[in-house]
Amino acid sequence: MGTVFKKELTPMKELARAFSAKELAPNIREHDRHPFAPLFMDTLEKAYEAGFFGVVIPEELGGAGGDLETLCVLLEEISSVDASLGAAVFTNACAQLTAGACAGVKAAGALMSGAASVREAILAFPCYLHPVIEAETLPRAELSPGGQEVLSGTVPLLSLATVATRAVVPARGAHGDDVSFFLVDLDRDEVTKSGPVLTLGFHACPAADVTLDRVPALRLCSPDKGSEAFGSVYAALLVASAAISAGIMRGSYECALAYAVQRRQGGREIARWSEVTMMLADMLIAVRSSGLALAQASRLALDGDASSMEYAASAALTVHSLACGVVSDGIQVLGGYGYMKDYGQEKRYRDAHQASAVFGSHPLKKLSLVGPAVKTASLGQGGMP
Amino acid sequence: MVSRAEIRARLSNFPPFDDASVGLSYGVRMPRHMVKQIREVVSIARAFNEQVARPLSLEIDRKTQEDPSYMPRELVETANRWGFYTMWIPRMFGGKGYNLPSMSYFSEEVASACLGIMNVIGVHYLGVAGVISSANTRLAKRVLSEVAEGERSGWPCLISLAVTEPGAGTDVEEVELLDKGSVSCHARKVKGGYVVNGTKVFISMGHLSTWTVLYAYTDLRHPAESTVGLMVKTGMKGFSLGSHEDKMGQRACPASELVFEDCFVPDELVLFDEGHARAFSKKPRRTLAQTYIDYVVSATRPGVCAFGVGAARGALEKALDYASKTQLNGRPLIDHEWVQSRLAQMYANVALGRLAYQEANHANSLRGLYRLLQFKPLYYYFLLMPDAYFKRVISPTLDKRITTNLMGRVSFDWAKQEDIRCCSGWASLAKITGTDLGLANCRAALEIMGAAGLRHDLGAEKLLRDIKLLQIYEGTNQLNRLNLFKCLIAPSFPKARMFDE
Ligand SMILES: Cc1cc2nc3c(=O)[nH]c(=O)nc-3n(C[C@H](O)[C@H](O)[C@H](O)COP(=O)(O)OP(=O)(O)OC[C@H]3O[C@@H](n4cnc5c(N)ncnc54)[C@H](O)[C@@H]3O)c2cc1C
Repeated sequence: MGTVFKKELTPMKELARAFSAKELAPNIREHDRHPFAPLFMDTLEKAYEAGFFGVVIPEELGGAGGDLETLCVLLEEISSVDASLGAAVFTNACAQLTAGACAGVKAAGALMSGAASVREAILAFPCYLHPVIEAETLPRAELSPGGQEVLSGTVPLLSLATVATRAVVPARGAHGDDVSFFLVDLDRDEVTKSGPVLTLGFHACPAADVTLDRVPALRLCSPDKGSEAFGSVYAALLVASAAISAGIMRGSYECALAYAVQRRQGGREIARWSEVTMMLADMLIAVRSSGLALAQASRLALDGDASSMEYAASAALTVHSLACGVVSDGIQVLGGYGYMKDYGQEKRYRDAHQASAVFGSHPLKKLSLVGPAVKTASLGQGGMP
Repeated sequence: MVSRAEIRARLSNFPPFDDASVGLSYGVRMPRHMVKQIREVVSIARAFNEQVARPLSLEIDRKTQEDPSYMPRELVETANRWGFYTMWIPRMFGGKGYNLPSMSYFSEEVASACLGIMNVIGVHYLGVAGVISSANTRLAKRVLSEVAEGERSGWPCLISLAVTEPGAGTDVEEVELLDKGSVSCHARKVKGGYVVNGTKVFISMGHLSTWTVLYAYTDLRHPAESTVGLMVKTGMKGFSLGSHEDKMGQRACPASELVFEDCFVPDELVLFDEGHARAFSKKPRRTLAQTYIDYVVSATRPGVCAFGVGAARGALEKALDYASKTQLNGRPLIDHEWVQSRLAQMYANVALGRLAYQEANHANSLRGLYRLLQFKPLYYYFLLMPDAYFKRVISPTLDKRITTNLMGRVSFDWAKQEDIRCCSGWASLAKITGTDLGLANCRAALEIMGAAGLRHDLGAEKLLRDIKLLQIYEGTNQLNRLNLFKCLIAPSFPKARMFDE
């Protein structure tokens, strides 16, 4: 059993489970060999056909019309088998939800419509940086002599950049220093992409360093609205990324449990040595409490009020931290075998740490979370704004 | 004034002072020259890091991800040219005879640049420890002089150690568990030697070693009573190399499967068996088997601690570099208080880990495997005698049965169980401390670095992959915690039973 999502989501859960069993499970190792083996384009195509890349797009615009909880169910389920696909779905959802927050849901939906293939449908997004906290590193937008806005600068680790034809990219505006979001055509000559960058995890959700050299870009929000737009979906995106971690840690726990009741040392199943049982208990507690937190967080994150978002983001950061501990124990229970590619535990260890770096460094995310609370409390004490 | 008897009685209460503060007693006995030698060793390691380890670390790791069948032969040749495979072999066996604790400092240095490369050097000394701990001076001389010859000729001769089996990992690290488990590597006594059948797994550097110290059992139902140590040479009939593992990290160092099918091992290659045991001591076979294991792991686990400390330092260095070069809110990241505090904790972790391996080495030097070599008069004697003396005077005596028997008595009969336990306990303490703190630092570096920490080309993610192995090999950290309990706590609580829940 995974996270306790609402009953209506059972069909999505079952779809995701069946898909994972058929399309992901048999080839996890091969898929993970990217960039040293071809990317699993067939699987991405099938995931697109199954509607995974349009979960948060309204039905009338060709999507599944799901909410954040639906997205979380999907992400958790597929990530319990192979988090790379989870990361790809997540990246695209980040782009869609951010575009939606900037330009409205219809505009975001339109970005997907009419696509003939997954390449054309999905959007790249720099999901390892926090566009507001790390604003000083963003590309700059300026007006070209022809009056069109162009972007210059680099976007490191632009997720899905080697697959998608378009990206949603944050930049610092020509009209001031606020963050704005733009739609960029990645196939243009002014865009230079590195090959897929080898990273710790999510190998089959490749990221590339992308250099923009005065590339014409479509503005998605008015100049002073980028931070606010991103802020309105940030907690939701963080919760979605935590759903990946929750899936990974559930996979790790289930694998460890199955192994521990079958592996014998000292004349008994290792699950019957209380030191191992204790490790399993720690894992179980982390998995289940993350499940509960996540279910609640996925309902709160899009509420719109600051307090709900604070709850949701806190839960998400906790899930990320717990996952990094669980996956380490997940290897440990399997001993030497856990360290080898054969059982998938080492991949979960890598993927969980990769997931926890979504939107940048964990401490910075913590600081940005408490920042508004400190400000409010300080104002209450008559402090400086 | 407190009487001597009173002091002794009080200090023997838990925790026994001589166990808990073992380094204090060794400090005054330590030959001063050791420090000079350690400084020299560290400077050699730093030169090696600059010229070899740092430039190659990421390149080899990437190469092995691209081609999992890649074998780091050139790296082994380079390490051989630098003289690392004989550096810590005692001079009486043809090595350079650097003091054994200095290897931990060397390990920390090289591991700070690359854990995988350090393992390519270090795991050979697991084999060396397996050879020397047996007390079989004749066979040690034969095998270790081949290592020295390999250095002269440029054809590296490495030793690996094969204990782990597909069905027995933790069990073979602890005699109490051995008989309860199910080992399968069988040695049948035949005329003139043993015939071995079975499989060993995860043997570091198996594919690149010339010699392997092999543990097998003459009675699979009572392995603790029937452990034999054999030297097998790659290429021997009946001994083949199986696959090697596709691992998460430390990819520069292969982990191999070794397969034995009716492999005949002649008597001259028997390191340790019933005959030796009887000549060495009247103690039960299982006690001698545990002593043998304890000697090996007491020497090697502080080394693994040093590996962990090295990785912890590598992580600190990466985080420092990143924090110095990155801006946050218009100021260098390193200027932010929360970053300084984390970096300080990482520094503290490095220092604590280092203290742990130093203390474990002090235990070995005062009460364990190193006690003869690190004993001041003998230390200087071995240091100052010319090579010719070792060749002409010492070397011939090593072949004599009486020398092996004498060494065997010293190690297995005369050595006090409480000394062996103290060293083994400290080795476990060091191992868990260095490796757990190492992992904590690698995680902290990734946290500070955010997205940059994920990139292979910046090296921090490799540290996180590499470090995890240290909590598993040389006995999992779970087993090492239990061994610490057994060696340093349980003697004061004699009613506590181990591995019997
Ligand atoms: C890359 C690599 C290199 C290695 N190199 C070598 C080498 O050169 N030579 C060699 O001989 N071996 C080597 N090993 C083997 C290593 O020492 C073993 O993997 C280790 O001892 C654990 O054994 P196992 O993998 O069989 O795990 P298991 O023994 O199956 O353990 C699985 C889990 O159960 C726990 N457990 C088992 N029994 C108990 C118990 N009684 N009480 C509490 N917990 C228990 C363990 O702590 C672990 O968490 C290597 C391993 C690896 C991964």
